[in-house]
Amino acid sequence: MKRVVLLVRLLALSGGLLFIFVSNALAVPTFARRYATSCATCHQAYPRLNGIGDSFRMMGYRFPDDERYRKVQPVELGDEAYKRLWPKALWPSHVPRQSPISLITRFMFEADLNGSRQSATTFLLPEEIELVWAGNVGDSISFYGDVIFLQKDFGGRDPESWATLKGWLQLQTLVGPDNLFNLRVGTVGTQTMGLFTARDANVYSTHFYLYTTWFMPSPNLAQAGLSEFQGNNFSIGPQQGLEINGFGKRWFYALGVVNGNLLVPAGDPPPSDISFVGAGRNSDSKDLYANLVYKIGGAQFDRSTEKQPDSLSSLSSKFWRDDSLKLALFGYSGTADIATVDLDGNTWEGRDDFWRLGIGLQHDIRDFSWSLQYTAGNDDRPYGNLSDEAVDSRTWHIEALGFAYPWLMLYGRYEGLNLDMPMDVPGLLPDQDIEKIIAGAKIMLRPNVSCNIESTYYTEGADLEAGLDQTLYILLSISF
Amino acid sequence: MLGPPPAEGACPSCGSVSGTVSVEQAFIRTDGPKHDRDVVVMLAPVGAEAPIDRESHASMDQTGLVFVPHVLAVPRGATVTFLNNDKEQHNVYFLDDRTGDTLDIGTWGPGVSVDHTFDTPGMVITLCKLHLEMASYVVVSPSPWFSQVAFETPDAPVRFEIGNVPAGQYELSVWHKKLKLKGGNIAIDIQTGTDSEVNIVITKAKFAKPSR
Repeated sequence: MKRVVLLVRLLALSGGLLFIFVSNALAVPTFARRYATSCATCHQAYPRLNGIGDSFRMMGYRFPDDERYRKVQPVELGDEAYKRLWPKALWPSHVPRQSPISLITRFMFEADLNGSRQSATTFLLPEEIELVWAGNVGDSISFYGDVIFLQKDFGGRDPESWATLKGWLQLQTLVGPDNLFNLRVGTVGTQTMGLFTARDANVYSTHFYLYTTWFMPSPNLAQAGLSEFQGNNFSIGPQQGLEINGFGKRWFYALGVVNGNLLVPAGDPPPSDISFVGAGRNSDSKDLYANLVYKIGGAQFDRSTEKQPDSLSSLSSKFWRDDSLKLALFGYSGTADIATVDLDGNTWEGRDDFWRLGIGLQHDIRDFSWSLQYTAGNDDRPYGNLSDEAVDSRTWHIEALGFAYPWLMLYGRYEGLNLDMPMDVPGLLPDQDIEKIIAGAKIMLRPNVSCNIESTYYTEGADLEAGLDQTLYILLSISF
Repeated sequence: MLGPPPAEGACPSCGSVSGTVSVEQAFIRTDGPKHDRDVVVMLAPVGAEAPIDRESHASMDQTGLVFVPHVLAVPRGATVTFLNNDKEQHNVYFLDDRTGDTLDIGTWGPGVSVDHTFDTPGMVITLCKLHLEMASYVVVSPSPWFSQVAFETPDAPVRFEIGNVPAGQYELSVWHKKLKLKGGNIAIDIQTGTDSEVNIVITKAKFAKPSR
């Protein structure tokens, strides 16, 4: 752990950006057990969900006519009739009959293609072990949690390891019509922090999107004449808070309030070996986010007027297809505490008010899918007393993928980040722009065993992301 | 009031009604202790009151923390014996489906039974306060002319038959735990010596409303 922290500090000293993977558990095989159905019922190729899977997730891990498909019935903690006797009786509930726990193991091999890493090859075997629990209790409460043990190398010789935890609880249809107001409490934003059309939880590649992983670079402490700098650690990722979400046939929304003021950016090595994802310092202000989606064509989100098939197996022909156009909007508004301590011990404290606004689309046509994303942002004073200049940011990507066979996907992404950095902050690189290409293939060796072969190529800013340029990644993953 | 129900096969002036019950746009679970397979088809005379059947007697056990049977159809006036067939205490607690009224008829130990007479047509949910998951349904028919049938599989229709029905005008109604009679209750004209064929569809409440 010390080495990770050292690496972080070294990168901070260089005044460069830092991009580190955040990890999400992205498949829940316990549902395959509950319904005795293949992963392909809900996934194009896990973790990416198809239309049926997105609907299942939004509905609180239920299908319409759920009883028709369940092979394992939950244990009743009270008959449904007790709902009519409330408040004179306990409201009834259920617990899953079988364990709601799933396991995912990822194995990563990395090869240096241009001599930029400290070692030519890296074994992270395993790279991650994920324990995931998910399910529902009754028809109106769903839950999710995971513990992820990670081992990362950050382009260095010595891998480091730590563990992260997440958990949320959702009350479905809190009030009003079905699915209009659902309340989620806990680590919110796994699927809703960011554009619906560019979700890390739905990604094909081994790398998450640039627009969700970048955060404001820190200055070189020595050159800035500081002993400490506490900047804005925000990146678009899960945080702790509350979220209201809802959906109809063709639309989805989510509104969230979160702590903000992240102790560490999502995915950054935590200060301790075990940490909760998205933890932030409590303060008087909270951050807000909003997410809107409209879907034209394809499976309905609520599937309310679709004829339900007699069995889930009849859904599985061409399971990856969902011919549709999705339009997405995402916005975030927050305030981060900024603090500096100079070499004489003088402390300055202030705030950085910031926002992000993104638009995206995803177009699925038979065996092909392409998407666009553009996100703009502004931080009014991210460097506190070092500079009173605001920083504008822009990120974008274009992505495409296609199914050559039901088990073979080819994908590519071209993405970029552009920051208007202040010129008057000592120890801060003025050019923090990045452009890179990610290309790869995903091979489904089995419905629950996948292999990614992927490489990254930077056209700009390779020095800002340690050890990622021209690296070959081979990722093997098994879920059960 | 009509006369008392005639004995089986001893009603020359009676007719009958029969047909199928099928499920549409819904799923019913036919396995497990709290299945959905039972359907009760009932007749109520129009403009007259059906006889009360004080002679009818049925029983419902509490065994293995389950009410058996899960659905029990009885005529109005019938007495049901609730027997504790377990080795621990059980309670019997009624929730009237129509009024929401509740009645706790008591808690008793192994081997003990308690009788209760059901005088009001409708459905009564039977619960056990000591074991919250236990539930069954007592369906009280407004007349002695009813038929309880059970689906063997979720998809295959089942046949029902109600015989020895005095000739006259009736309203046919159907009870199912989760589903409703599509199109609402059916008017039936029972004629002497004839069998009226009625094919019934049950479905979710949102699909069951009569079309205008």
